[in-house]
Amino acid sequence: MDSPATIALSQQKSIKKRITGVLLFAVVAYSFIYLKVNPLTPFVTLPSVFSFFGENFFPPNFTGFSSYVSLIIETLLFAVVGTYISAILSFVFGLLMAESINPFAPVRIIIRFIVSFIRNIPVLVWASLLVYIFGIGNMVGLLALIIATFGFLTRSYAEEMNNIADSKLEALKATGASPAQLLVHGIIPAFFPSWINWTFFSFEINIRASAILGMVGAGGIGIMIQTNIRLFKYKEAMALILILVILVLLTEFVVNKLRKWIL
Amino acid sequence: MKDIPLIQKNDRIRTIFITIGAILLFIVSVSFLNLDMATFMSRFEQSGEVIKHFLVIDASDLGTVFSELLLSLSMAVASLVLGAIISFILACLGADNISPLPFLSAVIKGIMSVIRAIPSLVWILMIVASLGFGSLAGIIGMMFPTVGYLTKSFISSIEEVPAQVIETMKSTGANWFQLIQEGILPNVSKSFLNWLAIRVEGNVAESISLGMVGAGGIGTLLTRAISSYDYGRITFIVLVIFSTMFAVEMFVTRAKKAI
Repeated sequence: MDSPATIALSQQKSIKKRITGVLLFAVVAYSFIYLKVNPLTPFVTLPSVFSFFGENFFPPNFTGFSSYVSLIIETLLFAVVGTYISAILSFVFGLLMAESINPFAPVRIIIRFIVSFIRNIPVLVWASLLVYIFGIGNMVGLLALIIATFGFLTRSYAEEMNNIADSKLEALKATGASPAQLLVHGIIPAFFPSWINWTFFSFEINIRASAILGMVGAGGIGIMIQTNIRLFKYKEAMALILILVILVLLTEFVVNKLRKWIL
Repeated sequence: MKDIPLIQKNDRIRTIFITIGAILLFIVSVSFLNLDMATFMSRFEQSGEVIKHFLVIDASDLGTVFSELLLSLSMAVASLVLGAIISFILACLGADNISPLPFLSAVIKGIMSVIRAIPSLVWILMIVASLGFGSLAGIIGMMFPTVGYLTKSFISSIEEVPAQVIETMKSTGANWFQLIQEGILPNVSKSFLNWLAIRVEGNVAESISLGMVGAGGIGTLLTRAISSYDYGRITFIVLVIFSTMFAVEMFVTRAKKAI
């Protein structure tokens, strides 16, 4: 040892890591160049954005509150119904997609492909396509919500189902349990906590999603926010945004309480 | 021989109670929602015709679609990087166990949960209102939700660092920056990368959607194609979006394994 004075804290910089680092840096640099935006500009612009908010969006104007109530309820109900239907559908498709449960590989692969197709298209794209096919209406909003949640939940459910230990299911099979008994006494009890967790999580996401679906004409609170901003009625828009914030935070709180109570 | 019940009586009562409550909630929600089933069903019968139109692919405008896609992706990357830098600083200030000012932790966490409660598209609408359309508005608009998400995740990772690590560092006389660099970073870099990886997918999806409210990128092309009834182009753009998202997902999974 020549110089015991400095001992490097990490010595594991392999060439592979360096290359990854350089590539990532190149991608980031290219993005800024392509956008013709100086990376510092957003930081410099932030103060003016904030002062614009302060001047135009505050104080929020709550005079139209009574007309918002029905929108708020609609947003909530959309999320509730959407979560229910997709939770049930996803449970069935999750069972069909999980390797430890469904022995038919072709079925698994087909369902995996469908779910990945659904999941990889943003909600708003789904919504606008559905509006296009079915016309404007609240059924379309609900359908878009169900499609988006379905993709997300099926994958999460299937992964959780795969995590259920095979040995437990095998023990049940050894006692001569029928497939139905296997489902009721083996899979559902072990899967139940994560079922609750994922479903509640998707409900929180759905509250936000059902708020934005309005932007493509599918009902809910989002359309009012967009309309108000387009009409330069920023103070009214701010009131709606604050209502949405309270709605989301309240949902998070209630869902947490509910989760503790059930589990 | 008496049967031994598989489920305890109390548990069974609770389960029945929860199930009935859940079913009631569903029925009440559906009935209050006033779903316009009639119109939907009549449109549903014709939907076969419309879907038939979609079975063509019009890739004639490949160049434009590709350059707009690149625009969306660039906005996603740019806002992720800038958001990650801000989040890292905020997380170091906001994590309970290392925050230099304890009251700051509560303030930052509170602000972050408010930021997260506002959907990304609403952020973009607000920023577009103040800056007008353009890449800069897109980047700043997506920075807010990115920071909201990443700061929360980073904080939870930092707070999981064992107290002994921090105490050891402090007792050797390390200052705050050394504490973060040598004590915290090695412990959290892996989970930070995981959070960033999750966020990449989210940002790409959002940068596509933000085009649909008019902020440029491939979403704008899609909205335009939809409003001009250009079936072939709609199909093509949707397929491009799908392949992009799929490729990003594959890439992220690969990159995570490589790192």
